[in-house]
Parts: sequence; structure tokens; C-alpha cells
Amino acid sequence: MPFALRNTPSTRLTVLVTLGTLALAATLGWAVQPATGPTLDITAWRLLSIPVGFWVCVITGFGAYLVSTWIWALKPRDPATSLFAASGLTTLLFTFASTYDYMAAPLPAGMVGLMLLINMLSACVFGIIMICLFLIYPGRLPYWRYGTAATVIVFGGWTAAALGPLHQIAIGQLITLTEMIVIIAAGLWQIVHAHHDPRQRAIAVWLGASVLLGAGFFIGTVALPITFGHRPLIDTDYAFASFLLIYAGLAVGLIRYRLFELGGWAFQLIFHVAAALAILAIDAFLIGSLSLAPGAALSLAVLAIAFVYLPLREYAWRRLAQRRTADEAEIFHSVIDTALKPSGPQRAQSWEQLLQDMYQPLELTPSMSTSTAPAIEAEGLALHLPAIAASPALTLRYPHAGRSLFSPRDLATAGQVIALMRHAEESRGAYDRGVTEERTRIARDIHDNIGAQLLRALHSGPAERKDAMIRDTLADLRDVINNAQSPELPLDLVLADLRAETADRLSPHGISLTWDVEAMTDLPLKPARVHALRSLVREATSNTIKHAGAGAMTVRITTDPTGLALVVEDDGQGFTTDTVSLGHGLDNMKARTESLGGAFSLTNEGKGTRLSARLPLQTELPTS
Amino acid sequence: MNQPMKQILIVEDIAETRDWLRRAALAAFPGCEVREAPDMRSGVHAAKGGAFDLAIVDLGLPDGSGTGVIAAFREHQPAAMVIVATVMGDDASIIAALSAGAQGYLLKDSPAELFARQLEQLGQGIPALSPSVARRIVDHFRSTAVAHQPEATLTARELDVLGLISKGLRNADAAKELGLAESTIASHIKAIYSKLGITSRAEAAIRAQQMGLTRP
Repeated sequence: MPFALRNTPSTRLTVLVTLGTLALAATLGWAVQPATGPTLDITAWRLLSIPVGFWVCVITGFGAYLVSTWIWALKPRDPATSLFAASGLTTLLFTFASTYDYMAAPLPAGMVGLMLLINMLSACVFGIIMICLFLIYPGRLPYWRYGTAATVIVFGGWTAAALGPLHQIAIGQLITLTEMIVIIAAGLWQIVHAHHDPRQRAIAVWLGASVLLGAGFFIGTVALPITFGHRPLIDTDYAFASFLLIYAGLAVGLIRYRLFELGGWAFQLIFHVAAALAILAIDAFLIGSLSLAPGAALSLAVLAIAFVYLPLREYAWRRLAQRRTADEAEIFHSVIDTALKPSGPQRAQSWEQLLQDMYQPLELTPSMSTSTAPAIEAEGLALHLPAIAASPALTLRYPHAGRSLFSPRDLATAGQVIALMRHAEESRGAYDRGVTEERTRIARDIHDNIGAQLLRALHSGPAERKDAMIRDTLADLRDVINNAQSPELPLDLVLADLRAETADRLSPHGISLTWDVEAMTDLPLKPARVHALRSLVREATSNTIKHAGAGAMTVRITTDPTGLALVVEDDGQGFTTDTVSLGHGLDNMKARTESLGGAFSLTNEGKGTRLSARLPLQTELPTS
Repeated sequence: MNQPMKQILIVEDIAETRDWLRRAALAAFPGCEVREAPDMRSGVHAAKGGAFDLAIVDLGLPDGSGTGVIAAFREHQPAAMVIVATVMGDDASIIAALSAGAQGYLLKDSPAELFARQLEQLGQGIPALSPSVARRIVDHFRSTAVAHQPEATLTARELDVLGLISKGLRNADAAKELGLAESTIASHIKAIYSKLGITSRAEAAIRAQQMGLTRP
């Protein structure tokens, strides 16, 4: 039931628009009657010869009424929208009442006097309402209570006196003129009053300009000339069109400045109501014309209706009544998407979008509540949701574009979606923590190894030495990058890379390499030990190349349960204490080894050099 | 394949490194003519325009990846030899470059004379393969070929070569181990390279990226 009789914006608007339409139909019905008197014979009606002034009157009145009731239907408890709705109603009354001039068929006795009275009365009341509106909207002016009371008493009394005891309807022009001037003054005051708040000021200027243009035009062309005993510059009824400016300006301002705290979405409501009324109007028209059609054409028409119009109508009505509800897979997808959005604001935005898709609320506002479960409030008009997905707690109002209320089923769905979202967010949190830990580890790796090595290079003397150390550092950096996933490397991978590199370096110098490994090949090595081992082999290779004059180099690596032993031998001329002054990086090797709790020695084995080092691995052996 | 390298293009964004590469190229191929490009755009432009025998391409360029330049060479100058020169040389991007059509890669932090010698060897058609890249290639064929590309599998010999190299043996050592000539090892490695690029280039790059990121 899309248009059920509940107190929803759409019900309110439908009822009011229907009433307005009936008034319009009645006025129009009388206007088409020929001068000879009312008749049901359509051929006698003067649809095309109704004066333009009539159309201006009814369009102005009906348009103003539509816009103002639309706003009120959305916010019925707001004093400003209530006043605005009343202004629209009075506009409808004074414009419709002034159509007596354009009726061809004679009006019932006393009707003209009544219409004249209604016209004057509602024009005066319109002014009072507008003044009151401008006293409280966009901002409440100082002393607005007194202002309201004074307006009602002064203008109300004046009007009552003029129409009652004095019986001088003509004074009405003077009253409305005075009211217009007060309206304009109040509008200007609003603009001045709002100087500290740019948004309120924009609204005040926009509304003020609409009223100034609309009402000012009317005063200038009609009210002023009449008051001073002249003929109006243009026909009074044409000048009514200027009032439409006020309401058109308002409709535009609604989108631009969110007048009355409503947004562009408010137009959805008027669209639905208009479409529904259009369908009903076509129904009425068809039923009406069927009763007039002669026999043979009737059966054809019935056929056409049965086969063409009814299916179309059914389709249109279903489309109108249908709620596009997101299915479960879609919701699930959106929840995961939302939870995985990179930043808080994006998550919050995506969450709001998901809620829009699920419930199409006319209003979605943050709330202060701290409750953790969703709840239905205001007898189904509002759904309250707890804070989640980096979004504050939210209150959704007027679900499905104002066409229905929140149901217990909506509440259950909301509960499920929130549970799902919490779960997804927790998983995401765990993932984020993992990423952070990983980052910390890589950063520490870079700091401990790369940073320290660069510093050592910076502080070491000879350029050649610096180059070697920087190269070493780049190699370690490659290691950090390539092995970012695993903090520990298996021994065989480290040795494979080291073997290739060493052989590459030795071969241009004609030195052969014997590589001998007797080790637990899958032994995991911590980065510090990987770097130390590599540094030792590199340093030893450099020494062999530079100082030994060797033809062969042997690298032997063995492991036992307590540690790793490295022996590098060459068949060169050995060294004298002064060639190895421990300035050539050997002190670094010693320091590195010893800092890991290992031992380092360099010996002359008669012919050739022998470097041996031992790294304890106790802590790294897998504990069973 | 002892082709003389006369026209050489160097694509490298760091000016000092560009000079260093130019000196290395001149040392490896005396008398050659070197042109330089500081970014990917001008590298691609050169690939489309000039005729080069050799291109030395850096991977991390300010306006994109060097693989774009490699692809442009494959398209416009398939006869040119394209070598990747990298410093970080993370395995994933090296494999992406190889499957985009690079014929080899060198590390820019090598000492100048070693770099020049490696360049010379590449000019003689001896491609290099580091143990870690060899391991990744084995992983790659293990994870992709079995699934849906029977033609992209490696022969038993090629797997032997990869296995030895991944243990740290150089081409010459592997040749000794398998009782083959070093040139045979080189042609096996070339076959492995071309099989890396046998599927659609984009897919191979993605695969390579994947396996580069899914290390044990």
C-alpha cells in the first residue's frame, strides 16, 4: 500500500492537493459555463474563450497553494512552514475569489458579494501571515513575539473594522499596501539581522528578493495607483501573477539554500504525488467520457481500455508504488566495500549511501544518541542507527521517499547490516594492525641495518672503502625489499646468492672458487646474521683479490646444533701484519661477529690466508 | 650473436648515473654512439624514432616504469637488444621486465669494470640470471604452466639449468656440472627468457608481479 492513510508526508500532501484540486475544478467548472446558464452539454462550454485574466488568477493561486502545502507536508510541526502553508492557502482564496469578474454564467444571488469579501479578507490575512513569517524566518528577529502580537492586533483589527462596522471594502487596498510595506521592511531587517551568518543571510536575501520582486511589483503597479485614486497600471488580476514569483523563488531557493532545512530530495515527494494524481485524473476522465459515448463506439472504447490503457496503468502504478529494495547480495557487497574504504570520511559517506539505497529516507541526520542497537522512533517515522563505519549515530526519517513508515522488518534488516558491518570493521582492524606491524618491522630492519651501514660508510676514510660499503648497503637494501614478506631467510638461499656473487667477483681476476657447504640448508637466519655472514664473505673475497695474489679460494660453511662456522682460505702469499692493519674493513668484520656473540680470527697458514668465524645460532634453532 | 653495438640508448633519470652508464658503455663498446633519455616518455619516443643496437633501461623512471620503454622497443625495434639496469632490482620487477621482452639485467651498484664486462658479455649473447631470479622463474612455471599453458612448460634440461643457477652456480659452473658447453647454457637461458614472454605480455607481467609478491 504505497499511499496508505497514515500520517506521512505523502498522505498529507495528497489530501491537501486533492482539496485544492476540487476547488480548482469547481471554479473551472463554473468558468466554462456559457452566458446562457449552467449546462451539462460539453459542446456548449466555452473552454477556449475564457479570458486570460482568469487563468492568471487560478494558476497563481493554485501554484502558490501547491508549493506551500508541499513544504508543510514535509515539516508539519514547524511554525515557519505552517505560516508559509497558510500564506499559500490565503493566496488560493484571494485569487480564486477574484475570478467572479470572468464568469459568463450568472452567479447565484449574493455570491459576488461573498467572493468580494473573501478576496479582501484573505488578501489582508495573507499580509498578516507574511509579516509574521518574516519575523521568525530565516532567523527570529528581536521582539518577534511583540511584533507578531502587534501585527495581528493592528492589521487584524483594521481589517475587521473595515469589513465589519465600517463596511468599506475599498479600504482593503490601503490595508494590503501597508502590509506589503511592512513585509518588505521585515525582509530587509532579516537581511541585516543575518549579517553574522552567511547561510542565513543568503536565505534571507533570496526570500527577501523573491518577496520584494513579487509583492513590490504588485504594489507598484496596482496597490499604489489605486490608493492614490488612479487606475492600476496593469490589470489587477494579471498583476496577481507576480505572487507566483514568491513561490517560484522559494522552490528554487529550496535547492540552493536548503530552505526550511529541506533539500532537493523534497522534489521526489511532489513527483510521486503528482504522478499518482495524474493517474487518478485519467481514470476519472475515462469514466466520465464513457458515460457520454454512444453505443457502437462504446464497445470499441472498452476494448481499447481493456487492452491498452489498463495494462499501461497497472505498469505505471506498480512502478510508482514499487520500492526498489537492495537485495541481500547487493547489501553484503556494499557493506564489505564500505568497511574496506581507505579513509574514515569515505567510509562514513559510503555508509550513508548504503542507507540511502536501502531505505531512501527523505531525511538523514546525525544524532547524539549513544545506543548501540537500531531502534524505531516516532511511531515508524524515524529509524535510529548507532555510530558505525566512522559515521556518527544517524537518524533516518520518512523512509521510501516519504511513502511509508519503518517496519519491524526494516529494523531487523538494519540490525543484520550493522552486525555485518561491525564484523567487517573488526576484520579490517585486524588486517590494519598486521600491516602496521609489518611496516614497523621493515622500518626497524632499515634502521638497524641500512642506517647503521650508511653511517659507517659516511665515517670511513678512503673513497674506495666508502664505495664498497655503499654497495654493501644497497645489496642489503635489496634484501630488505625482496624479502619484505619474510623476516627470516633460509640459509641455502643466502648461500646461493653469495656463491654467485663471489664467483662473479673472482673470475675476472682468474681466481677459481670452491664452495663447500655442509649445513642444515633450511635453517632460518635473522637479518642481522644474514648481513654479517654476507659481509664476512665479501670482505674476505675483497682481501683475496687485492692482497693475496691467489689462484684459488675455498669457502667452507658448516653448521652444528650450536652455531655456524665459516672458513675462507686462499692459496696466496698470506699477509704481514702491516698489510692487514685491520683498517681494511677487518675490524668491521670482527666487530660485527662479536656483536652477535661470535668469534673471529685471521691466520697465516704458511701459504695463504685463513679467515674463520663462528656465529652462534642457539636462539634460532627451531624449538621443538 | 656477436653483433657490434654502435648505437646505444641509455634511459636513466639520475644524471650522475647516466654519465656513469655512458662511461661503462663506452668502455664496453669503444667507438659507439650513445644517446640519453631522462624519462619514460622520451625513452618511448626514442624507441619509436631512432635505430638502436642496444638500449640500457632503468626501471624506476619519474613518469612511469621502464617496462613501457621495453615494450615500445619490442614493438618498434624488435632487433634491438634491451637490457634492464636497476639498483633495487627487486625480483618481481626484474621478471616483469624480462617478460616484457628485456634480454637481460644488470645491477647498477656493481663496480664500474664489472659492469662494463657484464655489458660486453650481454653483447656477446651471454645472458645473466641471478639465483633469486632463477628461483622465481621456477616458481612461476610451477604455478602457471601446470594450470593452463602446457606449451609454456620448461624442458627437463632448462629446469636443470634453472635449478643449478638458483643454487648460486654461474653459467660456466653450471656448464661444468651438466657436462655442457657454456654457450649451450646461454641458449637454454635465452629459451627460458622467451618462454617467460610466451603468453600475453600483460598477463606475464601480472603473473610475475604476483609471484614476486608471494614468496615463501
